[in-house]
Amino acid sequence: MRITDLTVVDIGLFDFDADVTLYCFVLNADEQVYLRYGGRDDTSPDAYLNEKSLHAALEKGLDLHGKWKAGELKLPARPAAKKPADYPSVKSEVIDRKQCVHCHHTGSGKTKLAASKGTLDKLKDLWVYPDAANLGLELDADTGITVAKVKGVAKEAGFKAKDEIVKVTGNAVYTWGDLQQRLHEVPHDATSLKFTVRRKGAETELEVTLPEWWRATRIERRSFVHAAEPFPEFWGRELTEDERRKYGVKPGEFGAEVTKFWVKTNAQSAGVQVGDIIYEVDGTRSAPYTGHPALWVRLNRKTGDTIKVKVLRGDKNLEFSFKLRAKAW
Amino acid sequence: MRGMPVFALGCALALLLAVSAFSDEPARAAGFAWETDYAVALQRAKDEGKPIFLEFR
Repeated sequence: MRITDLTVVDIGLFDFDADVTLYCFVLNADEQVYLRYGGRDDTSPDAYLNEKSLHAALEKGLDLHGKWKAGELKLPARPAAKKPADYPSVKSEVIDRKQCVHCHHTGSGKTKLAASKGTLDKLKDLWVYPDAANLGLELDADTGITVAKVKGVAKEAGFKAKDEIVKVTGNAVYTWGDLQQRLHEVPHDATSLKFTVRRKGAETELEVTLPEWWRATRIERRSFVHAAEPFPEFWGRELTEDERRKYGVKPGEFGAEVTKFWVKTNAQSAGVQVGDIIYEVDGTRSAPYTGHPALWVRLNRKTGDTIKVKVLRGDKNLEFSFKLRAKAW
Repeated sequence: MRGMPVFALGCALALLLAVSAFSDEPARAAGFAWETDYAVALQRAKDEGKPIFLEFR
């Protein structure tokens, strides 16, 4: 069963990462979901999508279906129904124009609705679908839930290579998609997270202490982040490690090359040029969750603010001030 | 998904109402047709006692 238009889909039931190329569910005729298959990390859209992991998910789906038919599987209650049209921007900008609703539309719609209500906490709500790698768990791509390497807080908690993650906070996990969904659902005030792992045939519980910015991923790739205001007034590409060395920008500090002005912006009017390296905004040169100054502006400033940026242009250090608008166009 | 290998899922899996095959040319992959009507898929799953593999793309 393939769906390419979400217009009439219950996105309360099929709630998934809006910025993926593919996402799958295995469910029964009563619309009870057994497992998920899909999701992505920052490295690649298909880092955990391959033939082996799909086969493993399908076989698990069959197994769970058999258990369900035998009355041996208890499944969670159906979540509250939700439709894309519940997001006003999706209705007016997509559905009313007779266009197909894509996954990313729902993500942007959610951001825009929260912003319009004044409830959007940009330093909290935009960090979705975290990566277990931030906890120190490197997972085998063929299973998605078997630990390949361990470091950081996961290692401190007792994780070992070859552990198979079977539950998160008591909820079953069968695939990498399941695991990412469980991580996504962790309350923002949680300070630790309980995992159940299978090790040498026996189940063991491990509690991981959550670092402050464990949810941080490269959200600048997400369409709904671009729905958050203000517009930074420039478009830029974060520097590579080699470029950081070349320009003397330290790891972890802001560094972005201005790539193109798609329309005339206030930054351009103030003197910022394509090729400039922006390395400081309002006296800030780093943040624990991003190295991209444009994202920092979007998350920490509001429409109408005037910001001051420092840029490298050749061997010159220059400074420009400009006012932020809500949108580029 | 570009570049991922084309592959067919064995009929023995007997899982799919319509088989997902990772391919740049899904219509040719595996020789299965995709069901695109959700209500029909649910009814078939009910009638045949099979689970549903649902892909959002």
